[in-house]
Amino acid sequence: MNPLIETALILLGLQSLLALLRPPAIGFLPLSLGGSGLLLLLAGLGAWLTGTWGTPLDASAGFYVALLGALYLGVGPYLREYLVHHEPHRARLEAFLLPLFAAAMVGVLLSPPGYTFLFLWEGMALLGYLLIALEGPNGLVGSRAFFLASRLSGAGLFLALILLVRKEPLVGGLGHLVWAGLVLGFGTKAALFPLHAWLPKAHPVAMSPLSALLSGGMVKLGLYGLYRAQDWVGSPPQWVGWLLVGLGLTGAVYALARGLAEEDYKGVLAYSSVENLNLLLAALGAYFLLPNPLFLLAFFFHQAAHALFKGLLFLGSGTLPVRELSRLGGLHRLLPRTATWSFLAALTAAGLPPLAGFLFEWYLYQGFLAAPQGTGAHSLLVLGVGAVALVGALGAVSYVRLFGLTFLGQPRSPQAGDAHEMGIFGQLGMGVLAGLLLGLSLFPAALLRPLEPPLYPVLPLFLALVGLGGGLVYLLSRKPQRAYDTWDCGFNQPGLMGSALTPEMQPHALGYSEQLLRLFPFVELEAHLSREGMLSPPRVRLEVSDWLLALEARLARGYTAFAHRVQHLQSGSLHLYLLLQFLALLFVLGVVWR
Amino acid sequence: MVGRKSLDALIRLYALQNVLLALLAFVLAEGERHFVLAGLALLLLKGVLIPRYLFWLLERLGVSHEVESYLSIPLSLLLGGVLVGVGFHVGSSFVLEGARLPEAVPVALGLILLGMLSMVSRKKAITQVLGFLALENGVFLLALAETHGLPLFIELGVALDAFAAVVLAGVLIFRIRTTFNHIDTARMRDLKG
Repeated sequence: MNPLIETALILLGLQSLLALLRPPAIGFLPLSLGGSGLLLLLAGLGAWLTGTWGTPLDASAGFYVALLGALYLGVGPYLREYLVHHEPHRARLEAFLLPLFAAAMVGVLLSPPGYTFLFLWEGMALLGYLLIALEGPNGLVGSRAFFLASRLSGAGLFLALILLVRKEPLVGGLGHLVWAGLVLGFGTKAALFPLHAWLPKAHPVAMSPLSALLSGGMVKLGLYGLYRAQDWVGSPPQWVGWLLVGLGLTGAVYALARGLAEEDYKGVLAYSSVENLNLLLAALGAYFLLPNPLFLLAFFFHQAAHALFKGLLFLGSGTLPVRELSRLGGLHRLLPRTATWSFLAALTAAGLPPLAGFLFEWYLYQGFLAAPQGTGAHSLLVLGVGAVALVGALGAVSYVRLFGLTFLGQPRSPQAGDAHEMGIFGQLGMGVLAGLLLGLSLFPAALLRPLEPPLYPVLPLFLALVGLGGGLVYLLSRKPQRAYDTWDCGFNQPGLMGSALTPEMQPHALGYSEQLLRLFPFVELEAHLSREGMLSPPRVRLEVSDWLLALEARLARGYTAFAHRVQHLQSGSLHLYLLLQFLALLFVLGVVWR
Repeated sequence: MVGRKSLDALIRLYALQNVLLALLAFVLAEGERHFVLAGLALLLLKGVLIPRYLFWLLERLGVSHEVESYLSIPLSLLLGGVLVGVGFHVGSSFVLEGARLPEAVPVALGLILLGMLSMVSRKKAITQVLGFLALENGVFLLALAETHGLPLFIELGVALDAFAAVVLAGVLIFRIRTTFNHIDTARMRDLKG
């Protein structure tokens, strides 16, 4: 095995051991998690750029190892500062579990399909669950959803991998069954559209650095699995490609619309993750259908970009005093550096031209437009171009809303005025990710070299756009300016300073997106007006309802009722249990009856 | 075993069954040492030790030596006959190639089914233990008939396992007796969710 990766895994193991032996042990996190991240980044990039580097680490696994390494490099120093605020007992557990979780993710990438893979995959899911469950009763919904999703994912993978490790040729329907298992198993992890429900529940609950690891790293392993499965099983049947494209594009549009109705800062980020992942799945599905390298370029490049900007945004969310958008505001004054990092990440996420997010969309458009005419795949063109355009526009709206409500304007609640900037280690962690993101935006060819990408001139375009923007700002700032108070309809009392306007009168988190949401009937916003008394002002309460959540609730109720019915079997009578076993034995014998 | 009303007779029948099984192992041995050893272990453990232990247990428990059942004796016999028929009908499809004693496979299946029947239909905890032991004998017979015998260590292990299970079951029955004053499993149905 590669010595760099070995050293990285040993570092992670030592950190866990240290957390067990010497309670705080948080001080070593930048060294262990961050250091292992650096080693993994180097090893992974080496394998990705130079082709294969021995059996466990070939080019595509190397890409993901590098991706995880970059995340660890950012999260390690950040954790050092973040965990100090947790009570010692919990911080100790987290310092013990997090390195193991990180190591399990790397292990998944290094193991061949089989029992080791399943073991590490399940271990990763279990450790992730435990880390979310440390949040206590508040995190119950999130940790349960995470657990259920990993059960579902495990079920699909067990089915597929047990059929695979038999080493017998997959004849007839078996190949389809294996692919169905793989799509279920990896698709659940990668938040494929109807199976994504766990992600917006689990990510907001988890602590910020963990969300960064989950959303930046762990969900990518689902994508890795689906891509890697080609080497395991052979090229997928047509329906897999169509399924991924169809569900992926639908899911991307759905997740963005739903994200507009979300009030939780991290919830919006989680829905944005669902959107990005579904687009990535659509790109992969399109690659399965039409082996066009443009889709592969889009697939790999955006995974790197998404890991970095989503990691950065989630780390930034750890600095916020509260998570509800309707209580935030004006934070750029209190948190100037976090605001800068988040601004950079949000620009990338919105897909603005010179940055990394745009290149992904560019590749996707190119790929869809290059679909050969006259084949069934031609319908992809219409479908894909339309959906990507819609997603691009909605994504921009979503991030304008998120950044504007949080960092601009006035604080909407007293808590929002009481925010504290992260210290040196936190800034270091975010700065590393931001630096990598900028590097990726400016020099995409450095990462994509093995795929020999067609590229527009990135650097000149960047300089031209920055120059243009800077020039505009300069010209505008030269105009003479006067500052006015906002007009408050004449409520201003004569003789009194200030105005009758309060910070609560700024655009509301749901009010901002209400107009747009009318286009999407599956997310409903209802306004309830309540007036407690003659003297108190009327209050508006906005409620979000969502078709998919309603369906989910109905399914959950049905399942609970079913479980209650089945429980009658457990009557407590030993003889009944024995009788059931007896009947089962007779049934098995009956199967071979001739 | 399904037709007797007395527990003493049941235990004696069980001992007889084990002696016969051990004899079968000797006959099939053809000079192979591990068959002889397995047969000896069977004779000693199951033919002598377990029945003696069960008799002692019955004495210590001080319960009636009568078999209590959900089914009447004639019905039990009838069901037993049907199950043995099922065993014989199905058994032929379980014979592997190169089986040592293909005729014994249906018998073994019948024995397994009868053991389960007595576990399901009898009420006293001790009769469940006896049913389990008969079932275990069926499994042993199946292994004997189908293969060239399992490796010695596994067979000895299984035999010791059964012995340990019986001892544990004995201890457990004692606890049940002291807690509930009876060993009727039909009356214990409080453990449920």
